Amino acid sequence: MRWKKRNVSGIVLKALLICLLITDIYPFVWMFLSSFKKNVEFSQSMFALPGQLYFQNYIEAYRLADIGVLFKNTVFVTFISIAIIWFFSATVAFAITKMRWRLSGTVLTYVQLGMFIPAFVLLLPQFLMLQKLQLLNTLWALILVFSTNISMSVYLLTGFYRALPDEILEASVIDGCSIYQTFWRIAAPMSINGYVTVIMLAFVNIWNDLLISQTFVSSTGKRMLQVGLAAFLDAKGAREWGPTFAAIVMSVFPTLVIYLILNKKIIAGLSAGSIKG
Amino acid sequence: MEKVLRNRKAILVFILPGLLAYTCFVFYPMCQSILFTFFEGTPNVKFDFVGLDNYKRLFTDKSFRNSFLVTMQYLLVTGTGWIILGYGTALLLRYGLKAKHTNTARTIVYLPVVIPGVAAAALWAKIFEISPQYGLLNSLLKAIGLESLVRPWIGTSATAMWAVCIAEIWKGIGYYAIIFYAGLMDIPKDLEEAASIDGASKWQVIRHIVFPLMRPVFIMCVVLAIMNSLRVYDMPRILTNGGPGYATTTLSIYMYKVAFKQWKYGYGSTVAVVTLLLTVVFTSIVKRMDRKEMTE
Repeated sequence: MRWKKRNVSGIVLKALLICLLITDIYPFVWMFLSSFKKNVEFSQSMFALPGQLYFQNYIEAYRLADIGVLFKNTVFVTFISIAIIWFFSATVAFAITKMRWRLSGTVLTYVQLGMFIPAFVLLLPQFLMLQKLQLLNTLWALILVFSTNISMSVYLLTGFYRALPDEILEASVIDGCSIYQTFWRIAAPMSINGYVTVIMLAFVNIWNDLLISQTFVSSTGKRMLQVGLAAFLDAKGAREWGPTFAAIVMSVFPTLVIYLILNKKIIAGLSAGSIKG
Repeated sequence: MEKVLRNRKAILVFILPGLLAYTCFVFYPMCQSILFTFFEGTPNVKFDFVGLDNYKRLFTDKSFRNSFLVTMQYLLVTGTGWIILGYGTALLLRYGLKAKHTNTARTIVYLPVVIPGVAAAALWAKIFEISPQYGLLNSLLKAIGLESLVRPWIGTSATAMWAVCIAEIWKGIGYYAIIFYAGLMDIPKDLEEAASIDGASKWQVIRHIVFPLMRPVFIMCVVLAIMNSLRVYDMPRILTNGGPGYATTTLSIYMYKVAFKQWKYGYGSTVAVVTLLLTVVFTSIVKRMDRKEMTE
């Protein structure tokens, strides 16, 4: 009797789990399949497989939404911002955790404050500032705003550096390394894991951003990917289903590939970033 | 050794670039935002001190009232959804699955979290669609014989808010599930084993041993849910653009309209700062309640 009961609850659990996984993944499958359908096929069954691989949708979406330009802009902004974020947070976090000075705790709290501020609270003052610097409507405006948002990265890296044994740094200093050499030759190579986490987190944030990119850049040729996608949806989304799905697939693709390769690191980073709520 | 680690010049070299950048573009704008709430007009041109007028205006502004209520509903519905479903998912991952499958399942559960909000919203727009052809949801309803339920989910104010919340919950569950899951993994194994040796069923262990131990994780997730649901933007912007009418205009969307469509710097900042204040107030209420119960 007891054995049977356990078996039943096991089956219920499995069924729930499978439902859950299907809800998570089926929309993606549906999106992917739909991106190959001709427009007429949508008026038939939503669940049917596409009759053929209709690549025309991708060509259409690529042309209409100017995806090439969007990608170029987004890659440019994302990569430069990530490099700067890395530099700022790796150095600040190192000084906070490994060097000895009285205000280190205060500075950490001060930098962490940024994690609690929603982006839209900063938009207006940042807009005015960028206007004064005559950077509005340039990609540098976005790089400036993204790359100074270092709170989360500093917080995560202080966690990683704390796990570095002080003895190793001491040994390198005794061997005659300067503090800069100790940072660059010893601490940095040992923190690659932490750096990857921080970089992935920044990548996801910047690549997926809509609010900041739509506020500071308005001309068509300088749009970021998500802004371009949003404009495409407004213009064509209702009627042109095939190209719309193709455009969504293309915008999701880079994040998806990187996520599938580095999922453990990304999950660790994103959930670690939340610990300090 | 000490001397090297206390080297003032080196410390400055390490912290100054990052700290200056952060101060100029995050901290200083935040202070400005707060300052702006006491002014109205255009900065550098004609920016007049108006005292508390902007705050007074909040009480008579019907649109603000509406978006405040929408945001509260958003907070309540998505927040509850994230926490309950996130915890349920974490339990399933931890207790309903063989260890070798957890990584795959975790990857799938987390998938909606990493994709762009715009893409997720666009996808859900197609799921809720009714014309020119039925979307996924309406097709499904038709297929199982519930055609009477077919409706323009995001096109009528009766259901639009729920539709946006469901899409938002779908995107966020994985985030909370992974945090809960990490919490569950931290619970000492021998504690659960001891209880089941004493004859407790799996459910009893979860209810009486695991649940109380997860308390700090719950508090953290509630705080995160408050923060995240008050700053939501992409989903209502793309899925419904605040409509139909003002049915899904959250504070963030309203702030954007006031600030960047009507160019009211002072009032726009006031709406933004009030949202920030709400976050601070709600999260500190949760933390205080937690402390109170702990000491009792």
